[in-house]
Amino acid sequence: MNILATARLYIGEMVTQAGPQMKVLLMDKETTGIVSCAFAQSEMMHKEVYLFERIDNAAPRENIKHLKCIVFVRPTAENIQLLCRELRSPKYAQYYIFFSNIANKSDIKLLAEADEEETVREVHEFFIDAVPLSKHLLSIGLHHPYDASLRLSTTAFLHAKQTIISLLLAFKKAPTVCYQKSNGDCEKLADEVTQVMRREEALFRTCKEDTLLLVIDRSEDCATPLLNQWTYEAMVHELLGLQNNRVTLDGQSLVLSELQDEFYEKNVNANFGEIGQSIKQLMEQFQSKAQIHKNVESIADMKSFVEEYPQFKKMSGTVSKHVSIVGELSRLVAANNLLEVSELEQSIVVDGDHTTCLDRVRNHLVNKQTTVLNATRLVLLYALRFEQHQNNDIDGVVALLRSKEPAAASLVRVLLRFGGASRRKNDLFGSQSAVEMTKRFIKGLKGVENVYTQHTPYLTQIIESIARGRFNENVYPKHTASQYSARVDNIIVFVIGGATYAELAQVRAANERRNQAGGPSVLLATTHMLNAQSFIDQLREMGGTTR
Amino acid sequence: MEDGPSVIQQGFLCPFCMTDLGSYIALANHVESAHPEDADTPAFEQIRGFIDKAKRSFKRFEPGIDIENLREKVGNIATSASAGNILQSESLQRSVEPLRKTRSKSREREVKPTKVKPIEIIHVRPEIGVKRSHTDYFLRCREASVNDIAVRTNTLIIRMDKLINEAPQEHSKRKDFERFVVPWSEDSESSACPGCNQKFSLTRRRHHCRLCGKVLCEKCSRFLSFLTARKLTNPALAAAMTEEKQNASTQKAEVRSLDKLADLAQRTGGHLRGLIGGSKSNDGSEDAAEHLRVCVPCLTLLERREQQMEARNPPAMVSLYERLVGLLSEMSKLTPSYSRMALSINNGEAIYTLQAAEELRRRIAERQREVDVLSKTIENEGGEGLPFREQQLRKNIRFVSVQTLHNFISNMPNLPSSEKYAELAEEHRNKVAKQVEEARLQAQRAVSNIKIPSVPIVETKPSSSFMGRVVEDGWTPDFSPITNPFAEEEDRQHPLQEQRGILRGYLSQAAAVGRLEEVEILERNLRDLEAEMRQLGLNFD
Repeated sequence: MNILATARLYIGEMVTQAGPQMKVLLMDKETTGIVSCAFAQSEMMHKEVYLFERIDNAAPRENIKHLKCIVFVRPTAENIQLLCRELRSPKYAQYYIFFSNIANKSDIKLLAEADEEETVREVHEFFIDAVPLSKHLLSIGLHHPYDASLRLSTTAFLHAKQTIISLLLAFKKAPTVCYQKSNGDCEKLADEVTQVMRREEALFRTCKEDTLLLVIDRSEDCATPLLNQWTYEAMVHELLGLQNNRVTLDGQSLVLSELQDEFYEKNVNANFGEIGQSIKQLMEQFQSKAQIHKNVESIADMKSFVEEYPQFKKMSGTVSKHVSIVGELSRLVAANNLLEVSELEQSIVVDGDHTTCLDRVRNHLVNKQTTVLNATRLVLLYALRFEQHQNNDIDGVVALLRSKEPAAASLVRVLLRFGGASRRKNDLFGSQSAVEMTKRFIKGLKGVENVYTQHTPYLTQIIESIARGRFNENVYPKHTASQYSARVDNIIVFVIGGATYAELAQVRAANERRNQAGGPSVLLATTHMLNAQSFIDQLREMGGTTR
Repeated sequence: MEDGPSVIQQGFLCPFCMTDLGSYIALANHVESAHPEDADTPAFEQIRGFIDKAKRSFKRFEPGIDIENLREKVGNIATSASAGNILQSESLQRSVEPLRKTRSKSREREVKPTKVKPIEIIHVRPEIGVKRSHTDYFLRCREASVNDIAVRTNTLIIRMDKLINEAPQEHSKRKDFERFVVPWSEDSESSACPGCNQKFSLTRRRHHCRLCGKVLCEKCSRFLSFLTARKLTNPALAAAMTEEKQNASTQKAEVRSLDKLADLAQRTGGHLRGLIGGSKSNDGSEDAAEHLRVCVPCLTLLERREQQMEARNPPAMVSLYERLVGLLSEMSKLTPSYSRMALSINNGEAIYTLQAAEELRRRIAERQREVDVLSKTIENEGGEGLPFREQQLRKNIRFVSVQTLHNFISNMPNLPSSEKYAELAEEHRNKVAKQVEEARLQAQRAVSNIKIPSVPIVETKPSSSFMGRVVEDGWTPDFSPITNPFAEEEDRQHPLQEQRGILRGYLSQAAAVGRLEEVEILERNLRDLEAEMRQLGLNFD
């Protein structure tokens, strides 16, 4: 299951259907994100799509009657209205309309009645309704999906449901639907998805049943988004912030795409130390080529240089991009004392020795070098981990944090209400199951390889248990209308409330294992991508306290 | 090629690497060890194909000569030339036999991918997901509503026709006539103008649309000139007017509003009025007489009809762009073909002539220049006056063209000078001879697993999506054999030599028009043929 490849096929098919001649692509906010992650702009231009427009742009577009127009929008009421207006006074010669999801018959009729000049040639549903950020990651890009009652807002729920439906149709899957029992949203979402599958029987007729869809909520694992991360992609998002595979550095927007950037593709899951090595190699490679650049005296030199020119040009861009990103990352690591903070985070969530952890958290809280964000995440992690510890001193550390973060008490309260022990029914820190205890004991004997990366997201356990057929049906039951398939070849996990790049790294690893040793293919879908900052902001919003 | 090497070339040639193994057993061993490969691969088919072809060429060009006889004869010569070696096609065929059973690798496998970008391993080819078309439903819905509009517009036009062509001359009677054609709605029915929602009063008088009869106020009234009206009711006149307009106006008439057109027609003078045929006389009060009061909805319908009638003249840029795309797709065929030729020539092979490659290079360069000029024209044609998006469109077309050009140019290897080429050819000949000699020596030492590098066939991937637009069509080379009917019997070429000449002719033709597939087939045939000729001891230079 490669959502990026599927998205590319869908978009390629749109261009093919529109045929030759100059074309313009008319999109909405969401589909713009989809197209920009699936194709580079120049790639689209080589397909004769020379202009890109937003349908919701208030400024009037000029008439260009010698253009064909590919319309790729979500079938929302607003878009239908805008499209009707567009068709009443068409700006372009022909229209090819593609909806990213199931469209209402009545909306199609509205459009037909608006098309008085008969400019529309095709109307289709192509099911790619959220942003394919990576081969195995689909994100709606919907920030702050929860309301004050810690439930999904109505619009967010609808959007999540539509995304799941389109995702299933994109892969032609009619899955067994499982959900996190302890969460009402998950159950409702599983229920409604099953209903749509039954209602749209014609669409799902060709779909295979070799897939398991699991709907879980972020509250299952609040620890992962609070931790500092050390793989390249996760670090970039944690420290600099990724937005649809773009990062802004010194006011410059840089694209980090596994499709177009070979170096990034190779190192996306590499840890910070390894990236340093790879960057060095890349530099050396570049320098040896740049050397040629300097002495292009002989004609042969010049010729070979010119022959290599396109690659060279591309490479010089790649080098400078990654050097500046990694440079900024290491500056931040040093300035914010991240190694020490990260080590403490790991011992809180993995070792869990209360006394030492409490001491060290206190030390960090009074340390001036500790940033507000890092202080907050330490307190939140401490509260989450030792919520039920008899001698915990949550009030004490909150009091220490208050000087840096006035909303400290509220944040801790919301976090525990949202993802505390009483709400989550799982064994997040592995203190209850004997298996997990033994595992940790053996790990302790062997010694840890890397103190900064001991923790693995809870999602990994879930995926492994499904793959091994040891899936806990009491915690994650299947929807009553759903059938168990004989064999689970694909797992789709939809995380309400945001996923992290650390979890994506695990999904990527699972898929790589599949390539070598077999096992199910895994895809992660979510409402949006989290880092510690956005997760804390989300808590703040849920608590109703504004900054 | 000299006599010496060509004689050496005879013998037990490995069909894969053209090495002479000296004896049948050595050859069989060699094939089994050096080319362990599936016999059903294209390579095997190639060999079968080439043997068949060689046979056919014999039959076709020398129907009088008994093939077996010829072979025996040649075989005898070969026997005497290189001791103990029996050259026979049969031996080759026999050497092929074991291939059927052994698994061997095709020639392509030996081609080392020089610098291949790591391709993502896709275990399951991604396929496109579910699609659903609503086009039929959409068209059904549209038809219903569009029909409705067409009927309404036609009614308006019929009424209009009556109003302008049958109206009485006298001003006083006209109003009654108009009311007779289109019943006016009662004043009492509407107390406010439907256009602006303002109440009618003494200052805001009621007027009537002459086409639908509805009430409207002065401000919301539009006036349709008789000229435009005639144009709509009489398509022949419309065509004449469009032509007239094009002839008469030198200025850019982009905006074709009705009023402008009328304006223009007035400026072009009495000529048009002549066309109208004096069906309407000038009665001084032109303004009143030559216009119809209409409401906005009616005018919209008519304007749309007018737009549909006007033959849309695509801007010059569209034809420029079509030409540009044509050139680019042509280049995407020619460039890989050229790269192939250049590579072969740089290897010193004699499959193509240097001249043909240079010719092709010139043609490509010509097209490159044209693409450059065309795309520049597209970019700069409109100047700064164009709207922003139009400018952006043109800039992007230029950008893509330049990028595609860069791509093509960087994929074009250089050609050697003719002196250098002579050197290269000599080198290649020597190399082949040396390889053959070495192979023979090794075979004699009963070392059976030797491999000589074959000339890599580099697949040049078309880098542009314009490739997708190439429509597959048939292609046949022109047949123009160069024969001298007065040549003496002994001057006549051997049929194989003749065939080789023809093949080479085809090949350069195919390469020149960028038919990569044909080029591949022809190259293969030529190689096969040359191999056969070597065995027969024919020189081909």
